Amino acid sequence: MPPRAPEELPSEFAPGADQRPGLDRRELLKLTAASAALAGLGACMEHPHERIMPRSAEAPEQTPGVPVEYATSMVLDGFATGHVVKAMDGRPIKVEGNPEHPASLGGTTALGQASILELYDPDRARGVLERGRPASRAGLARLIASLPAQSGLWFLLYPQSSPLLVELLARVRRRHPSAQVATDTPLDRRAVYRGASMAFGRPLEAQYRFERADVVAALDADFLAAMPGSVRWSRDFAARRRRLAGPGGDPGRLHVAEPSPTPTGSLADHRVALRAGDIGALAAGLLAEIVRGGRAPAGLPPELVARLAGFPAPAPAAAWLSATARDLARSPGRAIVLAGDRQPAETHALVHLINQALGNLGETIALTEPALHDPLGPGLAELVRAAAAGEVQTLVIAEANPLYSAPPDLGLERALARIPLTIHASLHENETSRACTWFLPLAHSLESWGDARAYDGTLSFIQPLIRPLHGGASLVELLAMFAGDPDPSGHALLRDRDRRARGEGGAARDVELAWEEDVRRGFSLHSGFPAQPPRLDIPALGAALVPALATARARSGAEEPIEISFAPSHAVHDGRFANIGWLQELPRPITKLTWGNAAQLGPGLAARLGVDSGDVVRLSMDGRAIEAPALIVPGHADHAVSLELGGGRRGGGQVAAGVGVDAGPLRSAAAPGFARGVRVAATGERRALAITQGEMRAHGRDLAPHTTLAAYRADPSFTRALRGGLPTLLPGRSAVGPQWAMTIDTSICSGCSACVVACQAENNIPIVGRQGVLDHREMHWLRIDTTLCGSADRPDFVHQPMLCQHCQDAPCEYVCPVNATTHSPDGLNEMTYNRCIGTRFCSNNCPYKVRRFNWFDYTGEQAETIQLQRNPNVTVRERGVMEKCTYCVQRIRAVEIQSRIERRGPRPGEVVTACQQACPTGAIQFGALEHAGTPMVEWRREPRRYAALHELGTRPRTMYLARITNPPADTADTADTDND
Amino acid sequence: MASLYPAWSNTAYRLALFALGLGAAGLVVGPMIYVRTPYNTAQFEPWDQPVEFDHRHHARDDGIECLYCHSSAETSATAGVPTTAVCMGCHVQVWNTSPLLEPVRRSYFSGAPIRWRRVHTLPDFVYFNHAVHVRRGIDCQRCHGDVGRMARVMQTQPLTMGWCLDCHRSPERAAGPDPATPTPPRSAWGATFDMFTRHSFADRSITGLITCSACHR
Repeated sequence: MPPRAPEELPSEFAPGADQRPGLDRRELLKLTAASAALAGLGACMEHPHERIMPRSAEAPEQTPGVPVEYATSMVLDGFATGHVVKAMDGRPIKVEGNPEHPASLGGTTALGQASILELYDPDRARGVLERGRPASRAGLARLIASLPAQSGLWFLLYPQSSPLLVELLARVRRRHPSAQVATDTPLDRRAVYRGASMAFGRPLEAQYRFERADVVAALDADFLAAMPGSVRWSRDFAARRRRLAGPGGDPGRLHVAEPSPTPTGSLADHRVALRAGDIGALAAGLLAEIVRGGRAPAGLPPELVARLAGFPAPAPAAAWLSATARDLARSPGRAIVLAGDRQPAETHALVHLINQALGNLGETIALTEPALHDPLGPGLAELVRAAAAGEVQTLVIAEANPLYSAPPDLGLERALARIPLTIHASLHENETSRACTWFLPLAHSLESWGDARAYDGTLSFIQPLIRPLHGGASLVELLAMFAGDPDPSGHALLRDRDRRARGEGGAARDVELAWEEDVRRGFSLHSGFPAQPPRLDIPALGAALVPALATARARSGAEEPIEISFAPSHAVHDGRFANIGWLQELPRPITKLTWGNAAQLGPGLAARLGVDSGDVVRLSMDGRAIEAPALIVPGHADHAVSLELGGGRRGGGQVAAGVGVDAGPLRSAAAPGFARGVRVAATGERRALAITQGEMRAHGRDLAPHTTLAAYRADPSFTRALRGGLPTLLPGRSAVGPQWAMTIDTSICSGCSACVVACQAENNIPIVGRQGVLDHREMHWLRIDTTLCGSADRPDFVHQPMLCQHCQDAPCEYVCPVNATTHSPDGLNEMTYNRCIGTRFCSNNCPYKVRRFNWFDYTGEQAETIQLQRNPNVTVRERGVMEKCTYCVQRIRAVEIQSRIERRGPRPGEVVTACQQACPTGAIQFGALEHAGTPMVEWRREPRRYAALHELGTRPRTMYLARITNPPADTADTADTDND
Repeated sequence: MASLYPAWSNTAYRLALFALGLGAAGLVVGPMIYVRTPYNTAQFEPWDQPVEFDHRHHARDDGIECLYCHSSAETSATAGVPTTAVCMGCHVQVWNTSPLLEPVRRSYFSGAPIRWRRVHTLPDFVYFNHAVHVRRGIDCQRCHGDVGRMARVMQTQPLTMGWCLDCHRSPERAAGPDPATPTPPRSAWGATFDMFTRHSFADRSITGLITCSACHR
């Protein structure tokens, strides 16, 4: 029996649901009459009385109305990222990156920003269940305590890096000596570690130092947005590229080969669209070119050298390959070659060999022990095998949701049915819970104590900001129950481990102080793993690669059959975040698609199949088939289709229900990342795609200028027509106080969209649902406009974060009939909601289309738990009111109030907007124009600055820096600079 | 033939026209007057509170500073109502068996908050900050009246936007003597204030922020 039928769930999340109920004519007339009759009564009401309920006793660290911040960490697939979470009167309301944490440096991802909404998700599980019926946690604890020692106990977890968890597993094994742990995630990194094992004899982790790399070649690796170190790497990569401070600077060069355009690919200087299955051959081709160039690593077996000689490059990438290989060879020791997580082990081994040949290991790449515990340990396949053999008596699945995410050919469902006792612990009752005998709600990471390691090994702490909203145990508490602790406390477990780890020798007082300092900071200083000497066993590696090269060679070049590749969604990851409305409505970085996924294909394949975006296609492979709407993506590899994971949840909650298609049926255990042989056929049906940006071409207008480095050097002031004074009839404005302004460098904006979610969290911005997006009613104050330049198969992308430009001659201000939008003396274009009567004249007159209108009472319909997330310093807008970016005026005023109390002016860098704070690359800079020396002011002096739609004379306060690409000189013909 | 209408009908017609005009004007002016009446602004209404707390006794007779109990007024946007523990700080010694203090003792020992009735209410779209006003030398009495003479606290000022702006346009009428140094150094902001304020207040950087986003965010 399923735990609860969906219709019995409280229907709380109306705006996230699909379509609002229609209003028929009778209903409309009734409501009109009723509201007319009641209109006068409002004045007759007695004054509503609020209650003030002070605490009965002082709470430490709390002053009503003053936010408190705590350091904690978010763990994704085993890797921790440091966060600082702001709590207002006991409610966590906003996640920021921890500026001190080496995996964050202050930046966050869209997922990190949205984790706060996961905490308040009204669909979270609320109680322990036994076969779908309410049960007690004590009952579960008794059951666990009564398990016999030899009970065939297995755990299925996400990959783990927590030292506390490892210690607890050892304790569990003392009680249950045969207990086994399998780890699984749909975005498995075993191939990475197997490749490292082939190269170095053990699964070492590569630590990239992008700030030192002159040349980066990313082979199907979205290292700026979708890999475990992405946030940190974005900052490092941007620091290197920002050496382009003037025309004389050298921004380095990024070469990218990938099947479907990603944020990394969109920032490339030199990109080729190539199927994921051809990446191995491309890596071999790179090695061949490097060997041919005389940089063969010593000890390379002659057999391998012979095979490499004349190794054919995959046809579409021949020019790319030779230019990239030349470029890499010119920067020995100052380059990075890296491959994506879904690439097979052999490709990773080849890449290690290339880096060794170029002398990059030890220079731009350090090797350390992996942060993950037992990264090559048993996985789902081993678990299924053991279950089929009847060796599994008790299975504990924690966090993971394998019945949704595992490849169906594993036969997990059948295997689960053979296990007598299955316990699922998760935030939500989902697909897996329904197949398990027991269910235990897990506590969110903002509700629990714990630890984990960052990608570089830094020991990070997870600190709760609120008691569990719906009861629930944390993962470590669940494991402690199996270790014989009937009612464990995560805090005590963590404290004990910490005390032991710091050694008994130290004075108790020092241990205590060190612990408090680490928890305050959110991590232990200098706890990252030390670099290991890169010792490649080149002869053995070479011999192992010979057969791989043979298959790569056999595959390469063949155009048919069509390849299908699967990638994590930048919004909902593998589907585990599918019930977060902010993420579902987040326009995907390149396609701008919201609410679901689509079969992405290139213009060439689409033309051959005769399908257009929105046509439903049937993808079938080996007797399995799914239907998905097609989406034509410029810059997509030909003969290939790609699908994002995370759609089509069957038990994911009210927001996730019915959104997107499940790519699962096409995945197989042997090829979870990509496979050849998919058949694509149009079905004749159409499905509307909720895309927020309808047009990606500039049609000859200079909306988002970009040029090559060579052209920039020849003519540094190429944006001169897009800045400077324009004649005006408008009266001048008096500028009083600090003049707030923003500068955005489009050369380092990857379009990752962390800023979009950060803005939503900070400013109480509602979501409107799929139908709302189709009706163009999305409410994002900040969107990222992506402009395509060049041809459809080799496009250049320019990401332009588009928000209220805070025009000094703002077209919206002249037309407001009630003065609801006005100009402040410090240069802000203000929006006063309580004055707005909703004529929408301002929006019509805004050339940037950044004003949003509340067509419905989106906020009033939200669930109570979601209301807990709201920022109390920003007005919650109601129906019929216009809204837009305010430059985070609440943060500006808070700093001004503090500075006035302290009798000083605002300091440089003191005001940080939400988008700026979240940005992993640091592309958005904010501040006062008076504060010379800050990046915001310095950047505005660069010759490539421009104002968006400058010719309209709006005099925006937001200034952009043009995108400069640096293609290799020998391929400059492919990068055309016209803005067609 | 006698006239169809008597002679006074002209007068009646003129009066009716006049009344019509008056009524039309009244429809506009009436609500404008109404919203300014103390009835609409909820002034001068002493509300019952769950505890019979008398400010006259505490603030005037005993001379307890406002900030002793409403301590977050100096650091936070909200002045704060004291926790029950603050009440009990004195009342474990003084009047510790008084029946009037029964709700306080109940709250203290049970942990349940006292449900005070809010007297000074601003709409949710107004962001007033106590700290910056108090730290810049605006007396509590300026906005809250002489609480020390109130048995039950009531609102004495209209708390309308016009009332806020009156002070912000000419702060010298509102501010008392400088609470800190007599002549603090002129800040980088000095130039800002000359526009809005008299010179002496510019020195103290008491500003008359009258831009919308100063209060509406």
